Amino acid sequence: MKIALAEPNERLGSFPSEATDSEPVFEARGLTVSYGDAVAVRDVNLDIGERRITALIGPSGCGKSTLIRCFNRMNDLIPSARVEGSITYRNEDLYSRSADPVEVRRLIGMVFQQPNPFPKSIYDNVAFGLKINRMTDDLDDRIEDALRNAALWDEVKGKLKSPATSLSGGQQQRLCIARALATEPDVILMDEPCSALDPIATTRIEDLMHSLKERYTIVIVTHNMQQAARVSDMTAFMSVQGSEDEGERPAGILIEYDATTTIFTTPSDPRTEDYITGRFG
Amino acid sequence: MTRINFEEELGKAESALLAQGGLVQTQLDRVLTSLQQRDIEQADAVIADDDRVDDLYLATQTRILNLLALQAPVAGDLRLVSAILHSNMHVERMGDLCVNIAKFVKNELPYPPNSPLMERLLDMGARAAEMLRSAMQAFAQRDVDLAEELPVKDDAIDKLNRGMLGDLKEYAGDEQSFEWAINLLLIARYLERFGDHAVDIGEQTHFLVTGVFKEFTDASHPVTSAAREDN
Repeated sequence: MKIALAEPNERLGSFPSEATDSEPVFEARGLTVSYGDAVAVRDVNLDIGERRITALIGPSGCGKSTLIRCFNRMNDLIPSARVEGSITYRNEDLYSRSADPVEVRRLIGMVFQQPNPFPKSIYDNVAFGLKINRMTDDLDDRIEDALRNAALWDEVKGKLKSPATSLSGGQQQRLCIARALATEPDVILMDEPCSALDPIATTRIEDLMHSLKERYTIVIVTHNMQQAARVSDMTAFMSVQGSEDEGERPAGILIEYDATTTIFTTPSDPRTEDYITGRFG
Repeated sequence: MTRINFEEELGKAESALLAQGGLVQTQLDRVLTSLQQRDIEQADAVIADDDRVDDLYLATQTRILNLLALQAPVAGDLRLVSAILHSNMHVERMGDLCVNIAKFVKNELPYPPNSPLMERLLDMGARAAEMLRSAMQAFAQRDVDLAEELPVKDDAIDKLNRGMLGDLKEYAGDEQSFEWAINLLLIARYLERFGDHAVDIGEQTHFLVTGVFKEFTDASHPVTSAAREDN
């Protein structure tokens, strides 16, 4: 089965189609998320392809972060948040009563904008999720694997007991990625993972994402359109519809979803074109 | 939010391309006149003015490379940048073809200025000039329909070019006329190539507007006018 695009784009034929030729891991249908009375995201239909990097782009307030947080139920932690519609993860309802949020977050890891290592040693940071999930057999091996997969091992192997906070920002972010990888997830969600990093650290994370997609499905929210263009296979452009001035409550909507090459060369929707070419608003 | 500097630079690149097209148009008109009138002075002027064509070509090339490096254009902007880059090269080559013809005129070979041969070449030249005009107009106005007429116009030039050989048969065996006869055949070939470049610019216009790159004519699988009309 191929990823169902909202509007099949016949022009896709001009460009490589590997991006869209993938089994969906997530299928969001009619997804609406509200915080109290405010609708953050309205009626999103979106499939996330397996072992692909999917970028969510759009202006501030369009609901990108809200959407990505739905994929591992991080919005559960916000009392006023309400999720309507459905999201399936590998054909299972992610929001069913029987779904265990801890297991969901083990399988679907998350990396945030600010590197947020625990105030513990490098070793203990990676060990943390393993201990919670009782994955403590071969602990040292698991930690080394995770640090290697996060392209951090060579830099920290001699100082695993040092505080994680002694690392540089870019290293801390890779440590957070290692922490997410340690529990053998299936999906990694990244919410602006490079916005606090310098260009060199950013390049290392981008290279890392490229190697990680051999094994993992990645969803990334980014404000940096060139980053979306560089790293992702698929790009979803979101925007805000409606304004208070027009007596309509604004809400984030999905405007266009397609192969990244298509979005950045021949987008179908003029709103996408306006945003990515810098003529928005 | 608008990108004023970017828009200005992109606008200047396109204007320079259109100006270059206008200049090559003049070059073609003058070289055809010099061919017909055996006007060496005019041929010299065409060769000298090719530097102006080259200057415009280089200025556009530099401007586009800077835009790619500094502004990272995407979507419609990227297609325009790419279409200008390609079309710029085609127009420059069309200028070079005019120079080739001017060099022949300067050789002062004793070709007959009034002959069916010359009529054929001037007919081809007028059609080539019209094709360049259409190609530039289609580009400037983003007119896909006009761009798609170019291969039809090109077929007429190709047909005239193929007839050239028949015209030349009577001269080819004669030692006196052999050299200029071969050269006139080359000029027909240059004009035919001139038309091909115009078709290529039309393809760029098609890509610019639709996002689909398609060859209007495929040299390895030629489509006849009749077959095109069937479609």
